[in-house]
Amino acid sequence: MIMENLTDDQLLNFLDGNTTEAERDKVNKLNGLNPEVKKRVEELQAVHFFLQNQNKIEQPSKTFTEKVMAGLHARPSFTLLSPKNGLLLLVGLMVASGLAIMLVSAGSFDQWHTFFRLGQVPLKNNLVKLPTSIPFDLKLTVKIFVMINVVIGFVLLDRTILRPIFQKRAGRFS
Amino acid sequence: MITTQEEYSLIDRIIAGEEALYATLVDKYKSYAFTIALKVVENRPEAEEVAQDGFIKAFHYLKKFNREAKFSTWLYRIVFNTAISYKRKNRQQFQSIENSIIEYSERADQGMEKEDKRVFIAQAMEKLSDADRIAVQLYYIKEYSLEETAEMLNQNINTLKVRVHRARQRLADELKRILQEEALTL
Repeated sequence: MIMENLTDDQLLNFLDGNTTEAERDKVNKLNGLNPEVKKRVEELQAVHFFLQNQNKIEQPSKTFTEKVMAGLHARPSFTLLSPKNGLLLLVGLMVASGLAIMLVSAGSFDQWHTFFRLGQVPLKNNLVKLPTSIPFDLKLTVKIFVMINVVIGFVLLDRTILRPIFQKRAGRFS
Repeated sequence: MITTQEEYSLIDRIIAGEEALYATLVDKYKSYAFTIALKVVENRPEAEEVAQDGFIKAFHYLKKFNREAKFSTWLYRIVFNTAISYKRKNRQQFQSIENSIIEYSERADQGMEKEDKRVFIAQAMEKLSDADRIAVQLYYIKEYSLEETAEMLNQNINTLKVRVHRARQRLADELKRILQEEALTL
């Protein structure tokens, strides 16, 4: 805002005490004469006083230093995932595992066992002996997938949800 | 009160293995570090956690402290960056209700008009960008020079000056707008 060659910057410098005597006189004079200037000074002054009163040095808890010292060699917490993302991933894993278990129980994978035949793979020498076939059972594969999901789920639950909650609670009560 | 040279020798001893001495530095700088963290994350328990994390990071990076800047400035920059990263990660979470209540509860013994202005400015503060809000808040704490504050916030001093002026201008404009709206509703 610019009023009679007086800008907000000049008024703010005036409030900060960063003005020359001549500039100060000019502001004081216009403040007394011009209602527009007076109003703007009042608005900026209200902000200035509010900020002056609001901003003070805050004190942390009494155990702050002990906690820092205790944490100097603590294992860093799992910070890649926020609790929200961890929870979403956990829900995703549970849904996928649940579906897989339902399909296995319904017998959907019972027919899905086969052999990968390797007998006809051409090899240039006889040094390496390949098995003629590799058995493949989709039901077993799905069961392994579910087991891995359960393990990952437990780790996620611990690192991204339970541990942060208990750490925060411990911090609040100590 | 320890001098800069004494502080440097303390740092040397910590690096050499006397880790317990780090508590002296933590005690000396914890209040301002906590204040910075609080201004950024706006929640006391989280600010405490962030400030502690900042101190732990600073301890691990102590060997890299090149002594071109003051230790305090270097440390506060780490705390500030830690707080900013924390806030970015937790942007979606709700702000603590405790902090909001404080703004409206202390109406006693003050003129209503003055108190209303205070509440309106507090509301306007929430509309400022994080960078502008933190710049103006640290500027008003007056604990460190503008140069040091600029260094802590990883900003050019002129950028910081502009931010502080612009933030106050916006607050005043917002206050004016709210007061005009209030006047119309009366």
